Amino acid sequence: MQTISPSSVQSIHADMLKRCKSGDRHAQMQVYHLYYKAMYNTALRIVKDRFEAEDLMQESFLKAFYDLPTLHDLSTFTAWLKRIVVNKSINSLRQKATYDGFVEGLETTPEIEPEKQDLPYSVQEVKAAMEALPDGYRVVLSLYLFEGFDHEEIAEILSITSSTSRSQYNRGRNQLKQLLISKN
Amino acid sequence: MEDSFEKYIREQRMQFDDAEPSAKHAAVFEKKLAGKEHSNPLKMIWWAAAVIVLFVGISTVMKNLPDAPQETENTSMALKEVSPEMAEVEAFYTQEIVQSKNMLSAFGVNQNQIELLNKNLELLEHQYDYLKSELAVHPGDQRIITSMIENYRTRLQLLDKHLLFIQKYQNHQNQSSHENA
Repeated sequence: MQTISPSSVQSIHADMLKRCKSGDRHAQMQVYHLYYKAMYNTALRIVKDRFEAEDLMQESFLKAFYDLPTLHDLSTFTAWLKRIVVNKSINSLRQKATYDGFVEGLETTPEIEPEKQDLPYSVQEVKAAMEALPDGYRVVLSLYLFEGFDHEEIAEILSITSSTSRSQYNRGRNQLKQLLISKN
Repeated sequence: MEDSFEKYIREQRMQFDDAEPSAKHAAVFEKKLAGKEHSNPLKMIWWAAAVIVLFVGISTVMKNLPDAPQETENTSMALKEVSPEMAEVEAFYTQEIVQSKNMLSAFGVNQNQIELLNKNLELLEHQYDYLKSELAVHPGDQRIITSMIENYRTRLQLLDKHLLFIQKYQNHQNQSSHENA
């Protein structure tokens, strides 16, 4: 079987993005097919609503293709696209009447209670417990654990301080653990 | 430092992306993409009407804006002066706008249409000059920079929509003459 080297994958990818930049709809659909699932799951973890997550994911792709001429370094495309999805999802969440947000000023950061050596939780159990968390905790936990942002980046995304992000994260982790224990 | 729970999430990370959007999501997206580029001729007429209304609105606003200062040193700042990336963005739009204008002239469009288009483009250029003077007063203000990019985009969209409209009209004419022949 013929294998494709990582460098040729990169150049195929760069070529595809260049075609997207020039408005090639076929290339835009190819890029959509590559990333829709990851971006959909990112939006879903934040807004918790399937229809809304799908709409936000698609609106993010449209915005990304539209703004592509302003993206200087095409190798940063996925991180850039994810940031668009995250920003759109958070804006949408904040507009909801039920949004419970962040409590600024809670800068005392509790310790994270240590886990047992073996973690008896399934992926589905962790997902369900994440969904049961208050919005503020869920968003910080999602961005840190699943999307790979650090506390400085989360602070910038959410317009909070990095110490609030750390404190929300530790509180959220402890609450998540309680939820997982109570389910088992 | 990473703890055991964070390690567990990292190791299972792919499994957390298991949700799928609706079965028709790709078709819906393709439609949304197409909607950004094409419209049917009837929609184009509505679009042309909307453009006229929009620019009457813009002209009214522009009349109330203070005049852009004359271009002298330090009183205006173009996008290309912000950063090398913005210089690239500006070069991209300038080039695209020139290309679209050349294509329009090649079509030999009716004089009235060209005059209306040029008037609208002039209004946008005037707005851009105003933004340049604002940027000189507030260097690096992201809102002004975004408005400048939007201004270029609007000019390009305006040209592209005219081009698309003319192409569709000509195709329609060709088709009719072919059917009558």
